[in-house]
Amino acid sequence: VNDELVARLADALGVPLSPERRAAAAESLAAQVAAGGGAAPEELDGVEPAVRFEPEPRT
Amino acid sequence: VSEPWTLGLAEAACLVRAGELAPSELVASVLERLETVEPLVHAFVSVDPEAALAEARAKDARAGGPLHGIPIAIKDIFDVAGVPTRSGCAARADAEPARQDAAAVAALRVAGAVLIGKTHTHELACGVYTPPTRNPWDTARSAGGSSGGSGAAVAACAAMGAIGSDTGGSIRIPAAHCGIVGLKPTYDRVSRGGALALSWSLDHVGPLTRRVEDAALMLEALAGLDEPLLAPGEDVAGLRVGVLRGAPFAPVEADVEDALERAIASLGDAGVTLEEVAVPALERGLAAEFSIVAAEAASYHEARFAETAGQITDDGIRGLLETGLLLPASVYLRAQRTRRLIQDALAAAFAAHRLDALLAPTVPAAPQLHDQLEYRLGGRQEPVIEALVRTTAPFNLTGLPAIAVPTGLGAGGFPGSVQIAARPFDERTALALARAVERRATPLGVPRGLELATANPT
Repeated sequence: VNDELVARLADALGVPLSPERRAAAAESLAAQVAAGGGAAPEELDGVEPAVRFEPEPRT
Repeated sequence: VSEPWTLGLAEAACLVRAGELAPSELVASVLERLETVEPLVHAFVSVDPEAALAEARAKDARAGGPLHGIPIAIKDIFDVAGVPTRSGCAARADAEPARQDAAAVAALRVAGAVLIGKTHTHELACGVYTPPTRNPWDTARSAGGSSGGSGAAVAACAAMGAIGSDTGGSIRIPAAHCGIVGLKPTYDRVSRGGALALSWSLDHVGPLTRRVEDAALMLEALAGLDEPLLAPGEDVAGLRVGVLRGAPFAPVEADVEDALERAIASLGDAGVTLEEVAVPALERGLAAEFSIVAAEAASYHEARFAETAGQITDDGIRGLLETGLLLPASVYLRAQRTRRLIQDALAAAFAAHRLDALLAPTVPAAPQLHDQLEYRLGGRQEPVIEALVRTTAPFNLTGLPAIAVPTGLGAGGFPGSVQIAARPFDERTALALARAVERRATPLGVPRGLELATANPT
């Protein structure tokens, strides 16, 4: 993830991102991607996303 | 009655119902207190004393609902008919007055509450500082956030209760920082209609009050419950509580550890069985929380982002929204799947240990200074936002009800706080356990930052 990738991605998605904000956005996006949203894919095999809150335990 | 503003919410409601205290007398007293302390704490965006007094006088001659004549403050992300919702954001400085009340506000009105004003929020309900609000215990420190204005107003007795929103701790963090009670109910227990969203799947609406019984009364009104959540003689003996000590609830400051020990001792005295519980999956919560908030907040603000981005003061929030708009779907979905993993792990812990509730520190450290960006915890520097959210977010990700309750003053001179989380829709158990902690805690007394103001309740 670098400034150029972020600039091209923002352009393709229509995200308003001025040149002076590209470096910060690249750094932040890299951190989010590195964190990976939490667990690793192999730990999540078979786990459905929590797109809806289910009050009753599923276990 | 001495000074009516010194009363607790439930106590005042009882006196009003008995005809021993007029709503106008109560509201006038709280407004007077507000005028005294507001220059110190800066909790309010707007106050309309004339309208509040007129409404209170109109209630004097008639009976009403459970919050009849009770002065309540509203976080400035909820629509109040006739008042702009600015959400702490310069881009909304010229917002038109709202046409109708948010659902939570309407529920409070139905219960008879008198709305006295709107309280400061951290910009777009996304942060833990809430400038310009100051902490009543030390005005050099933050009241927390994002519902910091609501926390400071209630702690300073400038409102008998307030509502806030909690996406990753935004009710419980200010409650802990300000030494009051903050209740995040089960997800969707209270309607989010008419409130600014931060993250649709993580946002919760709930009360901030000085006492546990006050929080119960407010939640009953907000959720439209017919039965009381707290019975006078409700016994917690025999309940089983799991104590969470490992990451993400560690490392913490020594005062926080002491507060947890006091709560454990209090619950033990009350006949509760406590045992240590380890839920390793919770360590993944912070990454999931931040990915979900980034993606959902960015999507919520996307239509207006081109015009408003330049007016967002907090660079971190602007960066979060920009990142959220660029975040790969795979990361967002991995976060939502991690969330399910955590939900299932907690459900399994409840089942395996036959638990009724969980106990943990609310926040890992004392209130931060207004310009403090990092805590030093466990021998390393940690960003304040990450430290405060890592202990509260698990119960946003799981949707479980969680209440922050004071445990008394710590050695450092700041209020201690623990949080108690229960099974979905079992706020009753969380409230009963919180009351057991509250009853055994030393009353907090006068917030240091308000020494210039007149006498406070103990």
